[in-house]
Amino acid sequence: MPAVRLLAAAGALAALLAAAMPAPAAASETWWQPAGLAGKTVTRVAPAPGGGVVAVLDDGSAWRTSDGARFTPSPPPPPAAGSTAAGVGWTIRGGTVYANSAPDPGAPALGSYAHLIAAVGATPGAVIAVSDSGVVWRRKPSGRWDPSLLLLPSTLVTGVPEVTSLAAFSAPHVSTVVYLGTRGYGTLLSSDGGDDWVRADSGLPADVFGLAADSGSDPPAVWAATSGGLYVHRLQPLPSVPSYADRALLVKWALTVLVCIAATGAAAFALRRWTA
Amino acid sequence: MRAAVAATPERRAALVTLVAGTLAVGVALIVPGFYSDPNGLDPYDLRLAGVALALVVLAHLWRRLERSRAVLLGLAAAVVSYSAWLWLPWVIWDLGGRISGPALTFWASLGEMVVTVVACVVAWRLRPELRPNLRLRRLGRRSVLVMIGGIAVVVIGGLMLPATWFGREGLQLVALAPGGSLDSVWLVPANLLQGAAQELQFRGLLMGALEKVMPSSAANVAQAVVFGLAHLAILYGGPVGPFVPLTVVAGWLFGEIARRCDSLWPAIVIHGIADVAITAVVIGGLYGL
Repeated sequence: MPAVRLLAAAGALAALLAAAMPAPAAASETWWQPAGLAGKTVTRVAPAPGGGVVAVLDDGSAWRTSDGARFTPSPPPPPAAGSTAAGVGWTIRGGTVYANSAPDPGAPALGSYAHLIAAVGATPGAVIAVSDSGVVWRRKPSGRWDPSLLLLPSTLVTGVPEVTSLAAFSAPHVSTVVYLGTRGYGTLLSSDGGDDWVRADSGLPADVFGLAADSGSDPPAVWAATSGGLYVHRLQPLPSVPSYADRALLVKWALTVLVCIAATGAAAFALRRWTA
Repeated sequence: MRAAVAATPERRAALVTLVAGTLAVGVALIVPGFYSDPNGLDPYDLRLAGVALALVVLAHLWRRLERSRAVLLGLAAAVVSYSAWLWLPWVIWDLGGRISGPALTFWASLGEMVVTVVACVVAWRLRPELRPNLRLRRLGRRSVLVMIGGIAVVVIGGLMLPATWFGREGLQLVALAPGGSLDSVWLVPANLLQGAAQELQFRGLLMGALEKVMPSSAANVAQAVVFGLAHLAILYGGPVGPFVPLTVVAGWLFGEIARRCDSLWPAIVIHGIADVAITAVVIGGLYGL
């Protein structure tokens, strides 16, 4: 059928054009890199005193590392007790958010099983917390709380992925980013205190059981405990905006204009030749 | 009423025009990537708009290219309106319009629609034999039923497919609220306008022009391919590969809806709702969509 042939030809042309597109710069390196314990289920990861992290496997053993290459046996870390930043310790007790010892006014009731909370050191007063129903809340430095993120079911017949972990850098001047780990959606991150979220699971297995932000390493890093081992993302400075000398820009624009004139001319020639 | 199948020279003229016009815009899009960063050099895709406008103006000034006018008008409507959508926010900002990002997007989408309407007006002034059938006059019961069914398919189909395929992972409640980066007060009408504009450009002007000289089914395939290729410009330099075949299929589906209902309105509404849904529930990745 002519329509089928036309569609096949067009599909081939589209594939050729797509292949001709310059590959995105990020394709060569994923956001997350494997950091040891490959193939093992890492159920928890927590910052270690003095730098690095301690990773706990599903067999109960715990291993300390600071570079993801060398691992030494370690006592398991104590259970997470909230998040401290800018001199304020944030915890959840009985569904209530506490700032140091006092309930935070305006905080929502998160449910009696809620325990995930992260405070951003670079933005004093900015806090992310997760209710036991899975709603992600964010607190602005002004003290106002708002529901920030509601995860959706993966399909109509499956449930909503569980939020398993939060991580933020407690030290000031490191990063405003907060990472959120899920069982099914990998990780998401927010760099503006929970107003906007971005999928940040490139290179990571879908099931993330724990996250830890390590301010002490150089560069600072975020570690992820997953069903496929330990992963790490090392913070990098943002690339500087390229600046072109005026003369170089002028040449590039001149070339572009020439390309456009040539393309238009070729098309006009084809139209004149084959449509008359 | 279906357009009569025209003689071979007219069909060849339309196909040559479509291929030559698309290739010319494609060359302007891709070639600068070999010696520059096109997104930095020409973030508003002015080079694409320039080529498309030049061709349509040439066709209107040169009587010999009269048969190419309608198809080039469809191409130019899509390309020039997209370029306008890109640079309008910055023009508004530079003129002192200190409004939010979503508000800028709304005004840019309105500008896109205005350019599209101008193209439709120019098309209306073509000779009846060349004038595209925009299918805007009819809205029967069948169209309404298809509209409702199409929206249901978008919603249910979107929920049935695994969320990680498309990034349909969550609702960003703060971002979607008034004042947020995805302020739905502005972005809902903006997306509706964008969907409507694209339907007018591709299924209205372009398919309507091609149908004058070839079977409607073939015209639909042709416009769907151009619709898919046009999205290369939107995702230039990003993870574009898997997206093009999907948009070809989507374009073909919208075309089938327009053909079988003999009305563009169901496609306009379904496309707009789909765009709103994507904005609301698709969380962008580290490298864009």
